[in-house]
Amino acid sequence: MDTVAKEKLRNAVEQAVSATIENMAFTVAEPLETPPQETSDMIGARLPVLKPYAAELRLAMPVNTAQALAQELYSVTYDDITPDMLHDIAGEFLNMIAGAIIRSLLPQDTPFQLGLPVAGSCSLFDSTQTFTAWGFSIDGNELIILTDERLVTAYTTPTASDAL
Amino acid sequence: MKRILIVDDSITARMFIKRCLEIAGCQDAHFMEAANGKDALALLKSEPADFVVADINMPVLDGIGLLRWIKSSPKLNMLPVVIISSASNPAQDQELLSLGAYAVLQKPISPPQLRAVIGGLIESPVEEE
Repeated sequence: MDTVAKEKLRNAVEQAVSATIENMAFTVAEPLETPPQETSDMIGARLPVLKPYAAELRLAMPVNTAQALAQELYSVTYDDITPDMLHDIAGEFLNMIAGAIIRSLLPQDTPFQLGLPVAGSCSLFDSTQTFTAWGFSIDGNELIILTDERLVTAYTTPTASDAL
Repeated sequence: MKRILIVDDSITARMFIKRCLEIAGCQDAHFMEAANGKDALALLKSEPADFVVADINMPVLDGIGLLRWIKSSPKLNMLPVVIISSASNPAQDQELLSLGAYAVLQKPISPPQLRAVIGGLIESPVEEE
């Protein structure tokens, strides 16, 4: 991956995650030098970017991260947290993070369109795309954002021929 | 008491928008919720609202479709619609405003942002007891 393009994407991902976590969960997301490994038992979400260029982003987090976010967001105890809540949080956080990433990569006058997030266990997700993982620590809990290679090739160095 | 309809397919987003509205001055409002534009239109047929806060990206009928329906309805076209979207940028905001959106905000929203936009809606003397 081109170093300049990767740095541009890194800044976009870090700013998007930081702003979203700060705004929604009133805490800080610190980037990790080495991203955690995505595992099949994690809570996850995937979201396609439809326009102007096709791409995909994913979010993965251990159940304890999702539970901590649910407690903060819903003001509930662990006993009141449901799997639906955890999946909805994964989908909505990815939706907001993806929007912020794409917005920062595109010129201001370029509209974009996101698909609907699909959330569930990460074991349900497989892909032929190659993803880059970006790790974060939220009060000691891990969160991973995965961006596919098309985000670098299309969004950091766009050309008209790539547009859908 | 203001009657506010929140339209978003995410229950987390609806809960967060409601919380922001309460902090922004709508703590005494009556909140209604719908998970997509179609359900919102069905609700609006029987339940009057003072304004709508809607996401763009939803299944069945999205926020743009909902906005078009409301603005083309003789009964609903004066209803203010605030759009809150994660896929918002200046180009898209302008298109939504030209379709009749009252305002467009980027997700994640904050109470001060919301207050700045809806201040006129919650302070206007249109209450009917």
